[in-house]
Amino acid sequence: MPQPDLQKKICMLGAFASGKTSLVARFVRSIFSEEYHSTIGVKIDRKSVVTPTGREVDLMLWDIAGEDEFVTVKTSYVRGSAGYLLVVDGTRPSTVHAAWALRERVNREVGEIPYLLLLNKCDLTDQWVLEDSEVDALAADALTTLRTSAKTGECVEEAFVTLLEGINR
Amino acid sequence: MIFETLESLLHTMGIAVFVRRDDGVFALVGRAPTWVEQILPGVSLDPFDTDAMPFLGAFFEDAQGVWSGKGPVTLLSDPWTEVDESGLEHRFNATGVRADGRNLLLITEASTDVESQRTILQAARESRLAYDRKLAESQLTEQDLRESQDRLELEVMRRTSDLAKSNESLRSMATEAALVAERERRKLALGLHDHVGQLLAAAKIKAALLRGTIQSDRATQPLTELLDILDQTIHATRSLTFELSPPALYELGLEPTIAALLDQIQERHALHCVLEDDGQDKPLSEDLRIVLFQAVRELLINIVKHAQAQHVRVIAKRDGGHILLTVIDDGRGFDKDEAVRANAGPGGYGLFSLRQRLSPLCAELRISSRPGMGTSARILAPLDIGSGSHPESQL
Repeated sequence: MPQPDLQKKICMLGAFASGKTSLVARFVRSIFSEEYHSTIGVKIDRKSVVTPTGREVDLMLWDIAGEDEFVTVKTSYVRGSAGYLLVVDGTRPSTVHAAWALRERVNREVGEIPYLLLLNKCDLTDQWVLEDSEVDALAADALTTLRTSAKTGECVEEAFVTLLEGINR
Repeated sequence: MIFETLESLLHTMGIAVFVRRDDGVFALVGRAPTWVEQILPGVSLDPFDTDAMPFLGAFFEDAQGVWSGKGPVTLLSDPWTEVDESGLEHRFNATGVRADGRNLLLITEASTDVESQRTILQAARESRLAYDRKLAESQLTEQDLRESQDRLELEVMRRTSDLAKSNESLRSMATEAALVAERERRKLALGLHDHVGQLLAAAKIKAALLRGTIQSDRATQPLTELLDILDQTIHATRSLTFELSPPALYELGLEPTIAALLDQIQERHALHCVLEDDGQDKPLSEDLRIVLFQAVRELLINIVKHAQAQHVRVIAKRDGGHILLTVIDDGRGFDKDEAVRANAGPGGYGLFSLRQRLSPLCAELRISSRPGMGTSARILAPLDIGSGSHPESQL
């Protein structure tokens, strides 16, 4: 069995209930729960992946509690990360604004770090209410934007792998 | 003895205590609590390999203030969760402490307090989620409404465009119909003028010759009466020819024909009529010449029928690449707004029909009138000089 070449810290950032924990659960353990279970503080998970170039990478996934009026994300948790997944709930426009604020804070306090914009809950596109112009603005600096669903698993693996490729590029 | 009691207490409470040495390295003090074996199997505790708990790296940044003596004496971290190899979650808190000149790091399994905090937060967020969902639902409804409205507006635009095309087509047809009718009238008029008129003239000459050869008064009298009848018939034929399609319109042009029409109206209706022509050349296509003459004639008929006017002036002038015909009377006038509301007014439908016929030839009719102040009708039409510009702005 090959030994991991390196370890990468990846953060999950976004508004509360945007699906960060579910995305990690789908990615790491291939499970999904309809129940919302708010994350407190930080939850650290790990998964080894083999990149398309054949390198084994140990991912340390920091699922950081979502931001809202009750909780402010400490950007110090993002320090040292190789990249982050910025998660937006397609059915809630307020999550775009929260994501925008988070990205700005990370840029200001930690520095510019590669990130992927995930428009999550794409299994509910009939309920999507996002403004294209706002999403486009948020996506402008992202490595790429993916529509994901932790429920169906759509593009979840691809999201982590794409971020990893973007980081290594 | 007390130390042993404290050590036992910390062990029971699941608190791992590390002392921070001057070189920044941490070392376990006393016995490790049981969770250490589960979560950190094989991890060095003296010195403590803090990389095994990566969250501590972030916490240490905040705790520096405590350990440097420049901040508070204790600092509690956010709770964090480590997932072990079997997938079990373990939640911890770290506390930085400075006591008796020693820097300490306490790591505890998170207490039930954290869970109750989480429950409160969860309830608040669920309530917020419900609000967000309602908001999103109303946004979706609004979006649906907007889309329906857009579709409706598009449909209205499409139908308006269809209607405009139909109107344009109707206008062209009206003009064409008027021109076809005019051509038919022209044929009749030519027949009357060239054939019937000639025959009548010949009959008159022969009757006059015959009267010169007859000496008998008995025979002369009926011949004289016959000549009178022939004169009246020739006159009536000329009038009919003019009414059907004045030959002058084709032979002499618009202005002389209007002049003849004014003479006829003045003679028949005791209306003082004047033509003011600027004398400039005003070349017109035949179709437009016909339609303009018909327009002036209809306006004059309207005046005769409705205006109770004493005087009529027709002004024909060249205005750049256009001809401007103005028909002014001193009659009773009318209220335009009221006429529009009543969809009538003097010759209301006639004016509408006139506009319909003028429009395809790029000609426009505008009427201005006030009760008691007479009426002025202005027709602006392009001259046949190849410019073809639309007259709208000049009326």
